[in-house]
Amino acid sequence: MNGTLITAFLRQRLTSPIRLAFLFLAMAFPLLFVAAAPATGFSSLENAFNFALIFGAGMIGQDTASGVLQLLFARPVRRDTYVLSRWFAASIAAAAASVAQVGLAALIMAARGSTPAAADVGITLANHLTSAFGVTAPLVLLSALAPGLGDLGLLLMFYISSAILQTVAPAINQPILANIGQIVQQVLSPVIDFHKVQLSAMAWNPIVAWASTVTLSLALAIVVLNRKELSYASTS
Amino acid sequence: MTAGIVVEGLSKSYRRGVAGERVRALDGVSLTISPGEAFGIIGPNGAGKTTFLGCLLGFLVPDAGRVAIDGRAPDDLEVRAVTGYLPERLVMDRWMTGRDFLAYHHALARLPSATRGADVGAALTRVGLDGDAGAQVIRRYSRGMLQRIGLAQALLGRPRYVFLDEPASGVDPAGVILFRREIAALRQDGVTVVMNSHQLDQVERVCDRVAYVQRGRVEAIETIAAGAGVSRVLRVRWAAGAPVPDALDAIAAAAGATLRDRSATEGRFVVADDAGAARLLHALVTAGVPVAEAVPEESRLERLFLAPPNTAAGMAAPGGAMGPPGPGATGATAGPGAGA
Repeated sequence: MNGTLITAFLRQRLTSPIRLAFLFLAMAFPLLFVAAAPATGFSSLENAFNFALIFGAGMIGQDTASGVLQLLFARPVRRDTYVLSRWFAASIAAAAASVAQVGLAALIMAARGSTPAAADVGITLANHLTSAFGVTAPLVLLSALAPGLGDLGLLLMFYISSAILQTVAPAINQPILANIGQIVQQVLSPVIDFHKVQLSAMAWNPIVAWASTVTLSLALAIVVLNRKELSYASTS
Repeated sequence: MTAGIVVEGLSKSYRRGVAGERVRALDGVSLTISPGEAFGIIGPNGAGKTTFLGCLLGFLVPDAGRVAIDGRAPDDLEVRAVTGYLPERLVMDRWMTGRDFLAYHHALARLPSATRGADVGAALTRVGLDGDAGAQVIRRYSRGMLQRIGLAQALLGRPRYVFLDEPASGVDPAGVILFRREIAALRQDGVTVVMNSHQLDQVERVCDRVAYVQRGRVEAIETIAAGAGVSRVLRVRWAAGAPVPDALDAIAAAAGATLRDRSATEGRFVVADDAGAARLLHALVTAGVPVAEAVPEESRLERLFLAPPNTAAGMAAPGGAMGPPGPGATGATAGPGAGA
């Protein structure tokens, strides 16, 4: 990974007014629910999915569409380093926002007389961290495939398709379609639910599934970017 | 390891649209660019110049053939570490200030962080963007300022190879002079410059050799210094109202030139070379012609555009291997217009 690329990406994201506006909304709304109903614990908080989208959307596609990649790859920067740096930077940003949200939620709960258990805070944080580093992995792959913010479009398309499969499957008596839809969703938002891991006899299973999804997504993103040609001449 | 840039049998095609026909952008291009040489690439729109530059930079994967820079692949990180590039379409990280942008590229180029501030300041000064301009967000830069900051990033860290794609496009006259001065400085430092441009006069002024590309093939390579031996049409203007001898054709013939036509204020003469031009001018002045100005009707490079050059004597075969001129070699390649 490349510190210069990571720092520049984070600076760019944190100076984008639109992303900051979405960040504020994704941060504030769940906290309002926590303040209104502190006894419900952390269930009002989503995992880091929204934060991953806010920081990660277009992480490669926007560079591809704008033409910045040409200038970047004229420098001694490996493409795999670029992909991993983008993923790491988006993950770190999403993770930081998520940790801040969990911390604020815990403070709000404590102030409202429902102090959460330390173990509950720890498990929630672990869930959010794996979500932050997980969701950004398939997103980086989609961003390598589609220019601009096309990754969001692809993500939406896959989600809608998987939802349709899960809805239609029982009606046509094809349970395998529901399974496919479920797997697609799991691949698009890899997260480890440590509440379930705690109770499961096969604790390693979700961890391996998460790690393999993340690794495969990153590997495919590197392959896609390595095969990408970078000249406006090729597109004109 | 061969120093410089070696291109052998380079071919590249694209598919037009999703299911469209394949268009051949480069067709078996071979040439060699020596270290320290300033090499121009000219040709009509769609000739394949930018594709060629894309292959030289390792952005495009050729269908056939190869590019080697100092014996390495163009996308080798060791090559990239000594390469500067100014793209035609200046798309930059517009949220950065000019200074931040240069610092960012300084870091990407693996240059020492200890000298970053000084190097960035020097680069800004070099392109005339010192003072407040460096602190401005790039989004607010004019086209000319963008070209200058682009040039500054291309020159960071004393690269040994500099690739310039339409470097003076959209630049004001002061900027054009700056670009010319910087390219001259690069040549003095022994930097290899490859420049793609439509501005033929600029190319002619700064380049040692120029490749004329058409339909994906290198149709000719012109050695600029050897152009002194190329025939051309000279327009000679004389002072208005002054008496001019009637026997201009005889005067020209005596000097080895040919009078093509004349008007009240000027005459057009065909001269064989620089020496012929000098003889003609001397003869005209001696005969009492009040010569006020003498300019070639079109530049040597313009002649390449006027007619297909691949039939001219001394010209390498289209797409054939074309090496740099050896010591003392004329290397002259002239379009058919040269003898007009």
